[in-house]
Amino acid sequence: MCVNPEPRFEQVHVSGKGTIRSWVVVRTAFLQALAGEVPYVVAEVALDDQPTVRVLGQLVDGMRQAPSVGASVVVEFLLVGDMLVPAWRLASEA
Amino acid sequence: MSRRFTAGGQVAIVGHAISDIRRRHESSLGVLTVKTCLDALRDAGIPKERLDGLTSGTLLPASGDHRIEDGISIVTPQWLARHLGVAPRFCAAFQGLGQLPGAVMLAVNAIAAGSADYVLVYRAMFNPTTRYNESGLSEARGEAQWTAPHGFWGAVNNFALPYREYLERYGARREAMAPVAVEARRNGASLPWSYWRGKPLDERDYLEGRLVADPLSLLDCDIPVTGVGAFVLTRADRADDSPHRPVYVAGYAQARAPGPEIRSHATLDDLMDSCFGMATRLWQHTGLTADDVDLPQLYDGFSPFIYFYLEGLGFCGLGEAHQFVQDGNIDRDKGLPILSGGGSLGNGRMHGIPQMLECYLQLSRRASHRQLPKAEVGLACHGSPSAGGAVLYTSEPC
Repeated sequence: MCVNPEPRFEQVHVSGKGTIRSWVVVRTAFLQALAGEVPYVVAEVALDDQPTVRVLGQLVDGMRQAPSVGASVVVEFLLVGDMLVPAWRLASEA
Repeated sequence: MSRRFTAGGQVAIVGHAISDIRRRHESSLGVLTVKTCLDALRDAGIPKERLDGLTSGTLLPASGDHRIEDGISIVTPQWLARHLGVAPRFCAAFQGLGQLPGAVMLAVNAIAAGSADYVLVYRAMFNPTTRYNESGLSEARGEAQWTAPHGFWGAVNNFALPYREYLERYGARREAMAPVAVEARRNGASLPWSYWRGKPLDERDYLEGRLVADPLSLLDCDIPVTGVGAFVLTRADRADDSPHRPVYVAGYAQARAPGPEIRSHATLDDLMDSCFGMATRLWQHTGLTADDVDLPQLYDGFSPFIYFYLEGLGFCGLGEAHQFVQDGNIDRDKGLPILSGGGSLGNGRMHGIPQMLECYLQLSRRASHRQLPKAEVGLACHGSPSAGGAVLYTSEPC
């Protein structure tokens, strides 16, 4: 295995579609900024375009629609402060 | 090239001490550490003047916003040397995770190399008065920028993910973990130093535990505490003069994180690959196998680590640990005593001290009414299987 000390990262467009691999239901907000948000679901999603890339994001409406391994999701962006942060929504709901 | 550890059996533990484990102590962590280390030297029959090595780990394993102050929230070997009034030849703190095995490795290597003759290996754990994992973070930088804005923070969330993967992949139920928590607390309840002394837990209590990061409840996580554990190590040939039966270090191994890819969180496959790798090196290092170990003290800072270690080290098959624990196989009297020392869930967050202490007490036959009939090869794990370490101990030099 050769590890490149100067990786040249390249930005590529992806479809925004993915598959749930795991999730956690956050019931205690360790981040005070999110104390008013609990409970919420953070899903770990493998991108359909490149499944070795796994992206964490809140599952929108995750407390209403139970997640499951293998479920298809699509990206959605949440406004956190003045930043857009990727989140997921079940494809069946989108 | 042989991968055998040439110093196996050449270094021994000859004494120990453990402080009371409490949520908070009246004296400072530094004072508690000095007292406990002096107790350990007394137990080993080693005058302070002969102490010439100190090793430890100094991590405060909290994701909250805490001030790090030597002698107050951590105790470095340099601080301790100064306050013990000793001038050691060898003084080192392990920087990685799996801090206690790391400190043992430093001590063993130093003694085998002749850098020191008598080394104190200690760990001082502190429970801050502010919330342990709670953070007022308002801007995420570095790696945290990929997790914190998404609402994902700290070790509890991080290990809930691979645990959920495990439950889904193998069709295990959360309830299957009850024997782990119950066994840890049953054994911890009988230890006079434990935070949980006299407080066992039954299955119903466990199942009513408050979910923090579902599937992890409060009772799947060890409780933050303040306490100190210390051991005196020396060369095996010097150990013959010891007042107690020495316990020998056969070898050790560390877990390595897999691959160069950027990782923001743990996956089950990553954890298990690291654990398999560590197991392979551990057996190569010592010439021993899982079958030789009669006292595997597995690390349970988060309860799912027990599943990962049981499977990763080869004490049961892949995907079988949840059934293994339910079938009574980890009962200290009838099965494999993996939590006979109470572990972290039964002592408090002492970061590997309970596992090492149980190996020492059982193998030196100093466990009094808790003494197991057969305890000749002990394994003390500490840390997540993705980044921890393990040390093998024997009652005879191997």
